[in-house]
Parts: sequence; structure tokens; C-alpha cells
Amino acid sequence: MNESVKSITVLTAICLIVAIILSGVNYVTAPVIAENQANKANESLIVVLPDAESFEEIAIPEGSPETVTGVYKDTAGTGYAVTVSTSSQYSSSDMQFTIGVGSDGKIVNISLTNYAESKDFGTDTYPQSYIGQDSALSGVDTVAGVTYSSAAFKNAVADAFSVLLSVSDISAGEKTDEQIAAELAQQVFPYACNSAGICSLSASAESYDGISALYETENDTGYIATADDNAETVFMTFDAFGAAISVYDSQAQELDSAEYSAQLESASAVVAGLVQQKQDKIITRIGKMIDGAQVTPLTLSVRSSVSSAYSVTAPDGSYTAFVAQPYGYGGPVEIIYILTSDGEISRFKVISHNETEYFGEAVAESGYAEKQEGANITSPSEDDILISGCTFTSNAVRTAYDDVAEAFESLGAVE
Amino acid sequence: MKQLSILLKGLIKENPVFVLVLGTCPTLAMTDSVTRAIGMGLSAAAVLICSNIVISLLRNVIPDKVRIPSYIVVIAGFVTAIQMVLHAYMPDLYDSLGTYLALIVVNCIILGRAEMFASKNGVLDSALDGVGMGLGFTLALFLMATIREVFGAGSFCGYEIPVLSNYTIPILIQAPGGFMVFGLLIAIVNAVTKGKVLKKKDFGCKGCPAYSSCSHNCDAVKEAK
Repeated sequence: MNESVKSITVLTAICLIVAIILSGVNYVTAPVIAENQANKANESLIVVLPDAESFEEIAIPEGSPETVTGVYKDTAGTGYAVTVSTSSQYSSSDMQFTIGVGSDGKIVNISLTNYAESKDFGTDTYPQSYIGQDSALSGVDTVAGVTYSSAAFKNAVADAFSVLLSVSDISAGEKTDEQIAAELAQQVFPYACNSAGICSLSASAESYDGISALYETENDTGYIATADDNAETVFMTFDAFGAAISVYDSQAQELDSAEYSAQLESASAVVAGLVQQKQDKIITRIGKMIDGAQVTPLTLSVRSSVSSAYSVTAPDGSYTAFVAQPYGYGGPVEIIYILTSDGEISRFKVISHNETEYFGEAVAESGYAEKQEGANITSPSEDDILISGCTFTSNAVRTAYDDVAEAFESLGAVE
Repeated sequence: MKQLSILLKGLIKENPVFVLVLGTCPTLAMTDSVTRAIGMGLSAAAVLICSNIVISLLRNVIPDKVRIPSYIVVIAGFVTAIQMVLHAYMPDLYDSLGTYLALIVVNCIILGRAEMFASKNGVLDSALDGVGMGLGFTLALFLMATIREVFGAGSFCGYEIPVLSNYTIPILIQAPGGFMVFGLLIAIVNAVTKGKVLKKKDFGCKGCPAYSSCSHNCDAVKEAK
């Protein structure tokens, strides 16, 4: 008994003494270790802001985008460093980078520390293209073929700027008309944007009377014309059929259309001409698909991925044709549906697409079209639509079905 | 004179690595670079010296039953302290030693010396034994690391050696090379000492660190042989 008590006492005493000594050592070393680690963390910030002296962390306001993980201010005032972590579609590990922004609001350097996407957007070159950009990011684009990863990167940089603008005194950069138009497209024609939220607009190379520029969406479902009004640019939006939607200022605020009737009139004429050119091509195509068909374009009030509609009178009966252009993996998938009067699909044809070889391109194969033909537009078979392994392409066809069904029903209501 | 022999025996005659074949794990893992080997060797030596002193001081206080846990607590205390100090003042070495630094706690050399020597001898002798064994361990690591780094990577302490760096033997800095060099060095030490050291009674049944808690009867074992 006595021996047991002694054993317990001695061992407890040894443990206590060791613990006390260790706490003493820790008291001395802990601050040094913390300082070392802070210096190490600063090293990655110094890379993007080489003139900085030391960094202090700024609290990120609540409700900021989750992609922004840290904002640091150089105590010497040369600028800010922002750490960003973004997850995107194709990788299980986050894309991480640090952005250095000078006090003039321009990007000094970007350092990409982790990138594990399936396709390389140019890890050495792409981030470098952001150097010198301000918050408008007007000089950078996404990378063709690596749209989702590069869009995630670009959006994360935009997030970093949005947080930085709210916590610091740097000034925002000016956006170009094309950028404003793209943002407006996102707001007005969501169906003209891919699932990453990127709306590709192409500016018309021709110059027109009364308007300063004309932007077409990639899938022909909307148009934006700009005109100068007392040194301000106004943005006029038109749907796929050339009907005016509304007028906006450069802050994407809606304006009173009545005040801009002159500009709207000249823009409408230009857009109508473009719409007609596009419809003529489709009319020729339908003529080749159905012998002896009389094709007349229809104007719908439905705004969706349906870019045009036609009434077709053929020797064997009358049909309604729709062209839908929803976004797939690589861009719009342009599909013609020719429907009988009760909504049965008489012909289904993919006229253009940019889907990947061996995968999404299956949508354009004749076997796929045969599966669709005979089905009713309002009740398609999910099994026939699904292309295994191609979520984006399958989703595009699903959207096409929904939008064409809606357009078809709206016609019935008119008749 | 006796003290000098205690100090020197750890260097060659009873070298913990080449003769006692203790602490093999850090030996093989840390000897691909000379810097790491010296860092490891000196850290272990520091722990060894300190723990030998403390255990020798406490040898009459610690009851036999809680001997091993007490030794482990003392050793772990010193290892943790060294870990903190290295982390604070030599962060690069701390990073390069990694988990092996914490594993000094279970390094057989340290517990072995505590059990075999410090618990039976005076403070001065124990300290000298710690210095000798610690230096012996460091020396062994340094020797092995020199061979592996010079011929395996063509450098010494990270500095490139002209000519040699063009004719490296990369397997030497990998695990198999570690075993090869280790085996060769043991063979050389054995040849130099003519194998005498291995017959020391420390290695018998009674020399086992677990002797006191072991159920075997050592005399019976001896007779059976």
C-alpha cells in the first residue's frame, strides 16, 4: 500500500514538474513561433506586392463573396493583397491565388498557388494577363475551351475587387460599353448566357445610322444597341424577334423608353434587318428539309432560348417550326423542331453546335434525332433526351424542349 | 581514467548505431543529408544528456514500479522543450526534421541509456555517458550522411561538389541505399573491433531494458542454452 502511494505520488510529481517547465519554455518560444509564422504568411503576400513593408489584415465585411479569404493592407500604403480561393466545376481541389492591388487600384501581380482543373488555361500566362487591370477588368477575357475554369478565375478576381472597393479607398475602374452590355445581357437575356453566367456578345463590325454600336448574343436570342445621348451612352435591348424590350443607362438602370423613341426607331430598323437575314437562312434550310414548303416567319411574345419560329405549309399538311439555341458545354446548340398541329415532333435536327468530340456531339447524330421524332413536344421522354456523361448537352436539349413547348403553347393561345 | 573511458566508449566501442544497433529508424530516415543528420544527432544528444542527468539525480527517488513511465515523461518533457526551441529559433531545421523530432521520445538509445546506465550510476558518469553516446550517435549519423549525400547527391551540406555532382549514385539517397550503407558501416566497425564488442554482457538477457518486468528467468534461459 505504502509503495503504491509512493509510486503514484512520485509519478504525479514528475508529471507536474515537467508540465511546469514545459509551460515556461512555451511562454518564451510561443511568441517567437507566432512571429515566424506571420512572417512566412507575409512572404506569399510580398510576392504580389513587392514594395510592401508589412501587412495587417483587414476584416472582410459580412455578406462578402465566399471566394475572398483574406484582405491585407500594406502598412506603408503601397496597396493591398487579397487571397482568393475558388472552387469550380471540374476540380475537387480549390483554385487558390493571391492578388496584389496597388494604391492606384490596378493589379500589381497575381500569384496562382493551386490549380487542379482538368484543362490548363495557361497557368503561367493567363493570370499574367490581369496585371495592370483595374476593377473593371476590361482588358481580360475567358479562355476559349477552358471557359468554366477561366470564368471562375475572372469572377473570383471581380469578387476580390468588390470586397476591396468596400473596405479600402481605391477607386473603381471604368467599364467599357461592351462590358456593360454583357452585364446587361446577363440581366435581360439570361437564356443567352452559359451555365457559368458568361454571356458572349459579338459587336457588329458594320456602322449604322443613329446608333453607335450593335451587340448580338451568340445564340441569336437578343440584341443590344447603344446610342449616345448628351455624352451618356444608352443601351437599348431587343428580343430575338426584333421587338424592343427596354432602354438602360450605363449603370444598368432602366430608363423611360418614350424619351428615346428616336434612337429606338433607328435601332429597331437595324435589328429588324439582322433578324430577317438570319430568318432567311433558316427558311432556306426548312425548304430543303420539306419539299415544296411555304415558310413564313412568326413573331412570338415568348422570350427564351427560342430564337425564331415559322409557320410551314407543305403539300402533306401544315407545321410549325421553331429554332431553339440553348447553351450546351461548348456554346449554343442550335436545334430545329418541326411540329405538327398537335405538337408531335415531325423533324428534329441539330444545325450547329460546338460540343466536344465523342461526347456532346452525339446530340447531332441521326440516331439521336430519330429518338426525338414522333414524341410530343410537351411530354418528351427523359430517357431519349439523356446523353450519358454529357450533363451540359442533355440539359441544353431539356431546355430546348421546355422553351419550344412554351412557345408552341403561346401560339395556340393567340390562335 | 574511468570517466574518460565512459565518455569514449560511446564513440566506437559501444557506438549506439553501429554496435548496439539502436535508433535505426531516425538513422536511416535522416541520413540522406548531412545537415539533417547533424540536426537530428545533436537534438537527440541534447535530450540524452539532459535525461541522463535528471534520471541519475532521481534514481533513488523513483520507485521501481513506475520507473519506465517516469523515464518516458522526463524524456518526453525534454523532447518537447527542444521541439519548441527549434521551432522558435531554427524553423528550417525544425521543418526538415519533421515528425522524427517528436519521435526522439521513443528513440531506444535514450530509454536504453536511462535504463542501463543513468539509473545505476552517479550524475557525472551519467552525464559523460550521455555526451559519449550522443556524440557517438551524431558521429554515426554524420558518417552515414556524408557517404550518402556526397556520392548520392554530389553535394555536402547542400553545397554542390564540382565533378562528383555529375556522377551521382541516386540510389544512395533513397531507402535501399540507406540500408546498404548502414550494413557496410556495421561490417567495417565489426571488422575493426574484431567483433569483440558484440559479446558484451549488456546484450544478454539481463541487459534487456525490459528485464525487471519480464517474466523470463534469465538464469534458466542461460542454462537452456
